[in-house]
Amino acid sequence: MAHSNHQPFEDWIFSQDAISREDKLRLRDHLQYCPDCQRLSGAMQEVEFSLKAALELSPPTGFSNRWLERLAEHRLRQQRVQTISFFLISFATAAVLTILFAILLQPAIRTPYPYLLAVAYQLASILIYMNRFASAGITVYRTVFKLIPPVVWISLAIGLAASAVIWIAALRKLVCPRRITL
Amino acid sequence: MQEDESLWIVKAQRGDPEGFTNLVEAYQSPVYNLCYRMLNNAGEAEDAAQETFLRAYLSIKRYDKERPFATWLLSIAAHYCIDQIRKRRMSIVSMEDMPYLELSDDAPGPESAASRNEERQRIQAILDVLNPVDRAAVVMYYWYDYSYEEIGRSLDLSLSAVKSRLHRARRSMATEWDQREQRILIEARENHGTLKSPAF
Repeated sequence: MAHSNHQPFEDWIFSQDAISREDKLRLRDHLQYCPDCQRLSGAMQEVEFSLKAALELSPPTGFSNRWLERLAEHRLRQQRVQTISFFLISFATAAVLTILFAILLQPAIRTPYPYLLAVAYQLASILIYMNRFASAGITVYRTVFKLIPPVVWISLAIGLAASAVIWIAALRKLVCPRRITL
Repeated sequence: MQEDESLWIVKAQRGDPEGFTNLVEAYQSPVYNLCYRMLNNAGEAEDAAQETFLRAYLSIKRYDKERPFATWLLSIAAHYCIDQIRKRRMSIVSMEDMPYLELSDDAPGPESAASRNEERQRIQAILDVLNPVDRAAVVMYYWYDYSYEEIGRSLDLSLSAVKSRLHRARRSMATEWDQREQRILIEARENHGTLKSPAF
């Protein structure tokens, strides 16, 4: 029998959608005289039965422990990648800066005296400014110290200490990896 | 269970691995079963299931609570297995060469174990004739009673595509089953003939 002759019947055999009563009767009649479709229909029924009867397989015991190990490994790998990336980026930045610095310093290396003089002058200016700034700071400090009562100073000191503790705790949490427990 | 699951998901989304470990305990069998049915190898199925949970853990914050967690998880597993099968095709490995690990479902006796093993092999043989996406659709349909819509959502397929894939898969599986039966019948006849023929 040509394959096209089986077409509607094969479709009905494999369809999951409901078929009309008339089509059901036509299929039943066809199955009675067509051994090919009969075999396919039987095979389909057996396949369905086997699939529905098949047990759900479970992994070997200790699956979640192995998963936790895998998660820990993944985190370690991620940390390594981050560390390596950080060093590579730092190294690349340092290399670029060195090259730029070398390019900038090239004329100074050839004739260093005017540059050395300019640097010495800049350093001296910075020292003078710092000295002036320090004297202004001391004057302000002396004035404020007399104005603010000791209780406020104590509160300020406690506040600063607390901020330092919070900062250290936050840093520790960021640096130390989280422990995983079952 | 549903309340517990919601609680575990919330915990996991807050970054608590304990919450996620509970989800691993609850869903290890469905995920492993899907991976095993897809890959037909215990070692690869274990690896795929582990990877599925790792991927789910890493993207749990993006999980949409409106969607069932199982569907989301099995979707990750199915996509991972489909990728693995496609990669595997690049390097063809003989089924006989594949390592076999004993599965954990406790068999009462050697005969029963052999019969279950035979049944498992028969099912895997008919699943193996399907392409990876059709195989995933069949596993979701028959093992997890997923609707066409759920299968479509899990495998990124339209409703009509799911229907046509399942139809095609059923046809392929029935044909394979029929051919296997025919081969067994022919072998049995040949063996019977050999036994009957007189020895010279």
